[in-house]
Amino acid sequence: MLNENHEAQLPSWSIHLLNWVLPETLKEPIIGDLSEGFHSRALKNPQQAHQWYFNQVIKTTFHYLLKTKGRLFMFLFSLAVFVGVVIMAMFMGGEITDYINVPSLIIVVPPAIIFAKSVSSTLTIKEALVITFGFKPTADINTLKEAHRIIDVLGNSAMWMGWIGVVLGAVAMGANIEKEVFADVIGPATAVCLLTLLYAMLIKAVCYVGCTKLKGELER
Amino acid sequence: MSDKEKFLGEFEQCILLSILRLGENAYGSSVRELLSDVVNREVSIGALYTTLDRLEAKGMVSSRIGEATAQRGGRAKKYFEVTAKGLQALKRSKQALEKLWKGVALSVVLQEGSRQPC
Repeated sequence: MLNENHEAQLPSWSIHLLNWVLPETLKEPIIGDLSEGFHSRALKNPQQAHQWYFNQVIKTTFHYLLKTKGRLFMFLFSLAVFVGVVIMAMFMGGEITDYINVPSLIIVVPPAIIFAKSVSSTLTIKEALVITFGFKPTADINTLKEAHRIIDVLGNSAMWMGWIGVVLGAVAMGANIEKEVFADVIGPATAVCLLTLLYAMLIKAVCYVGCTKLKGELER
Repeated sequence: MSDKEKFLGEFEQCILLSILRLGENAYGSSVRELLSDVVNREVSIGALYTTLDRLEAKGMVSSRIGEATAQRGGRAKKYFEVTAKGLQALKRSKQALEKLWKGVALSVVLQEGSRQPC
């Protein structure tokens, strides 16, 4: 009750931010000190207390951000570079619409999600992704192992479905393309057929980076 | 002991001296307030705890978790104490500075342009 009454006057975003950014051992003393400083100032000048508190929260956040979340930022940065390079390559290779094919997506994504769902009863794919991307850090080894298993299966099943899509596409082309239209059809048909593999590889690459990050956390 | 551990930085000295002055009441907020009141140095609570953590890792301060008060939103204080190693390091830094200050007289330039020793 004590806790709730006093923290109610502090902006809730600041408590969430500090809880997210501070090392476990310093959460209690630092948030307590800031709360104490805020309340002693609020008795004299509430506006000045809010300003002081806001400055302290921002400075403290920036102070610890790279120390505690450096790995997360590098992970997100590497993902952004990866996505950026892929999109740039797509633009350089022609129209972006050439790389969009709904049937190929349907072959790869839903089966991969279903396979990944089936390997864990305690975590959902969304929870596993949230843990992997560091938005909900956890030190629980079992949770990390579950998240790792889900992301691993998601990437591998996407890859398998991608290859299956390629083979299915090749069989369909072989069975259906007639001699008269072969030259006109083989190019676009192969492109669509290879798109399943492209989608699979994109998912696998992201999952690989995620798995490596989770593995590192498990080893630590 | 490496040179890095032998000598203290200026901020480390300020913190150790603040802890000594505060005695049993040395925790984050009180150290921060003392630095602000006595030497007019405003520091963020994050910077203060980073240095305290470093000093603790070097064995120059020890800490214990104290009581939680209503004013702190029910959160516990972390009290600090200077260890024997910290006292030694402080002494060494003081002696080094005293030796270096011997024979040095600083002068400040006043608005009128005259120089006066400080």
